[in-house]
Amino acid sequence: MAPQDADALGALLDQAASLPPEARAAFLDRACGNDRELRAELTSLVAAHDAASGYFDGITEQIIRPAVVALGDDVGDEFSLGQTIAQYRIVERLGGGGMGVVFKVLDLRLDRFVALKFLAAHLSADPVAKARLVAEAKAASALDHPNIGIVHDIGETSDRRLFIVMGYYEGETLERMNARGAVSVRQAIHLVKQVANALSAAHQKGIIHRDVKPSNILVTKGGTAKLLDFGIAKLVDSTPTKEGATPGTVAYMSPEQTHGGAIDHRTDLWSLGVVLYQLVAGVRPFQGENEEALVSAIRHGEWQRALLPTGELGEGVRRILECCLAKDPCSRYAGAEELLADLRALDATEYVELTHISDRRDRSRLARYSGVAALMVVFGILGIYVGRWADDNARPQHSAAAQSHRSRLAVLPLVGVSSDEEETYLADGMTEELIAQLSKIDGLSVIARSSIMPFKGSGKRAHDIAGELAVGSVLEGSLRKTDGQLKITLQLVDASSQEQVWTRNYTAAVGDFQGVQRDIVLQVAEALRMQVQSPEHRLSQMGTTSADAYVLYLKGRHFLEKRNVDAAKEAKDYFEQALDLDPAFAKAWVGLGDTFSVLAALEAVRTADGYSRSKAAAERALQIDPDLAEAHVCLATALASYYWDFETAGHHYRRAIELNPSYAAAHRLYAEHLRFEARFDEALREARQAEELDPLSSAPQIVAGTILYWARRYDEAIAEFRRILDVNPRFAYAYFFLALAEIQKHDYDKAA
Amino acid sequence: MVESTQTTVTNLLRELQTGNRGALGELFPLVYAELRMLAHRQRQRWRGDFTLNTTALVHEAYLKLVDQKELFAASRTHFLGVAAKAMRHILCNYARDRLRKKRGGDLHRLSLTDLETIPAHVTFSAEHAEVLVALDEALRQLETVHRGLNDIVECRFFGAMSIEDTATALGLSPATVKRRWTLARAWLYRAMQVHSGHER
Repeated sequence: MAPQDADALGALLDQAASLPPEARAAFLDRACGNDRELRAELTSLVAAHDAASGYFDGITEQIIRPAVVALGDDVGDEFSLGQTIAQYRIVERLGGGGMGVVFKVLDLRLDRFVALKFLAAHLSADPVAKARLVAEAKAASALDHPNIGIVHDIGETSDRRLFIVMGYYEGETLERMNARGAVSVRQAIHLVKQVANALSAAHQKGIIHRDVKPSNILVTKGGTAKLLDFGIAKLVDSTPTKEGATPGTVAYMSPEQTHGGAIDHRTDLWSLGVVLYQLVAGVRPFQGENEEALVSAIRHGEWQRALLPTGELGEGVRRILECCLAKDPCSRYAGAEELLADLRALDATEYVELTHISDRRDRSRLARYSGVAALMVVFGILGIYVGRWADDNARPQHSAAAQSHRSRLAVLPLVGVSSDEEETYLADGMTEELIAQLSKIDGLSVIARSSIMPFKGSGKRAHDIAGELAVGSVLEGSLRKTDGQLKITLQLVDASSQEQVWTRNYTAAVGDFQGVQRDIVLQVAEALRMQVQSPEHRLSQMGTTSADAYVLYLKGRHFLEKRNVDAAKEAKDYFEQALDLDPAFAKAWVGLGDTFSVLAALEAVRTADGYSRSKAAAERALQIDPDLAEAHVCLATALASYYWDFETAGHHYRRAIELNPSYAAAHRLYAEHLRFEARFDEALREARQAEELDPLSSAPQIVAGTILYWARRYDEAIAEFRRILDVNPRFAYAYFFLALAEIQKHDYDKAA
Repeated sequence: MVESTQTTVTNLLRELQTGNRGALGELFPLVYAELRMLAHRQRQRWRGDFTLNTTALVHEAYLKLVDQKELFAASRTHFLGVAAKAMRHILCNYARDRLRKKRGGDLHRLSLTDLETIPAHVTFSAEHAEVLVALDEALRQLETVHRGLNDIVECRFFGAMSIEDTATALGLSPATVKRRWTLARAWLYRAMQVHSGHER
């Protein structure tokens, strides 16, 4: 079509359109004359005109505005819930902003929840930004600390969108907590202390956060602070025009950061100071009508000391802030450790202050729980610790002897607060879970369940129990079930100083305890100054998302523990019901496998049936979770007891011990296994390890005694059996072997 | 850093006003980047309620990118004109991107179990995106047939500008804008109808 003059065409169209439809043809005839092309064009345009007005009137509201909104969400709406990207299935949208969107996703390969952060398109498109980001994520992934949100991985979708895989934590950001006014001064100090701890660890590795602010600090349900987005926050949030000048972020920038020049680790100390001030004073220390005024306040303004609380605590906070909020980095703390030391000291004074108030109430309550060694008074939702055992206010001091016990922990049976039956199962089950989980802390030996259960309801004090078990620390607490929620209160007691190291309250849905368990492990590890290596990888999960299945599993375990035919049959029912609800619940398969082994051993089922079903169940569990130590032991037991495949059995025992070095039963069973193979020295070593982990049970000792017997070390064997009989004079099996040993020594008088 | 972008944009706008159309080429990417970023930020700020729109976005960009003390009020409309063009590119590219992703690639390969889960709420659907892409293509055709008409459409649709503002921004009389606007709408509608008819 030949181009026509737009203005002429527009004018004619305007006129034609303003006429009633019946008059238009005549108008066009007149206007176009012989120009048939013009006539055709105009006719078609006039026809389109009326519909066009209606159509385009709605375009702003119906198309463009939603497009702008969707663009704001950017990656947000491109991905939908339930969608799978690489091995991650999107479960829930957690948030999103200029830097991209964060989803809670299920890692299908490792069967755990992680957080996936997609980066904004413009960052993914820029190769330089991309390279920097990958480098930073790599550095951040080396940070393994309880107060740092872990970075697992960085990846790319098939259409080259970058994403970062991070730890998923249940909880809320400090920003949101603060908005709710939920943070007390005490808590603020406690939380900031944890962040300082994180910074200290990161700075030691040369990694600067650059964007410490309340929205980057997540507080888990268990009260652990996690500093998120290490090293990547600032990069990710940078834009082509202005680097990192997000309105919310400027407020936490250090003076040197606002200049856009060189910064070092001390910028993080400033930012954390701003966070602390805001938490304690309720407002930010530096404010401005606009960005310019804010920057000026940061560079030159003074902060209001008067808004800080009075008293020792407020004074302590002020002193710390003076050293964080110095304009010149050289006048600040030289490093996060210094800040951490001051915060720790302040955290300690705080407890001392509170002790005086709480002591009386604490004792009066104590009397009510006669069966429990001690329970703490709980204040507030988060259960801030107030209780205390001893009158001395000294900070933990460990004697040399205690130091050697420090790496041994006893988890006392959790106590159900009410006498509800289900609560008892849950309490016992949760105790076992905690023992299993805490066993995974490197270098920590956790006393086995069978040595703990005798103390259930004994009324003995933690200190005395610690002595009997030769442990450095005792973890004890209570459990309450209300409306499908579990509330667990735990306290960690240092045996030598009798000092309560910490107390925490945890609340979660019955089936949703894995996050809490992880928090407990990390917090205990931190309190004991121990490292959990890659907690995300090593801490196994409860293995089911079904709360009901989990409770059924715990009931099964409870009954199986009684080791009699009726109870085992009942246990079998519970495990089967749990598996009906969740066939992918590996631990329930192990429970079922163990039950069949027990039933076979008790001759309640045909041996062949019992062990073949036990083996099948264990194999099923291992298909689901190849790293489940209990499943390896279950399989090994079936293989050794019935199939006589000792080689494979040995392999599975070793694997179980490798996966969980504190697994007493694995050591004990492996010791027996080694005895069958006549590897007596190794067998004895395993038996002794089992004994250390399970000091009150006679089972490891019997194994040790029989090993000594078969090794023809009769004197030692006799001593071993006598030792068992001293404690447990009604142990017939020990008499039998004692007699055998004495017969071997031809000491027939004694044998008789 | 902050100052320099503002100074650059302000100077470029001044050049644009004095008739240097070359300034547009430099101005465009700066405005484009700012708008794209603002869309995210504003969305964050207004999450939940639906107040985010082009006018607010463009206005915010103007406040951030232009030193108002330095320029006359007329510069605002010039800026809006540039911003509207940038908005068209941002939104239409975005729509195209979305359609491309919807039609293939890793992200849409759902397994059977995935289908059982409820999809996230969609405010901007594939149909919306198709309209925007069709509009963009019609605008390209219009550009070749009637030069300059696309400027008006961009101002009106993507900048949500009035006839008067559009006239100021483009240096035209309101009457001319009005005439061309009438033509452009009918023309685009016809082109899009053909397009969609073709699709079916």
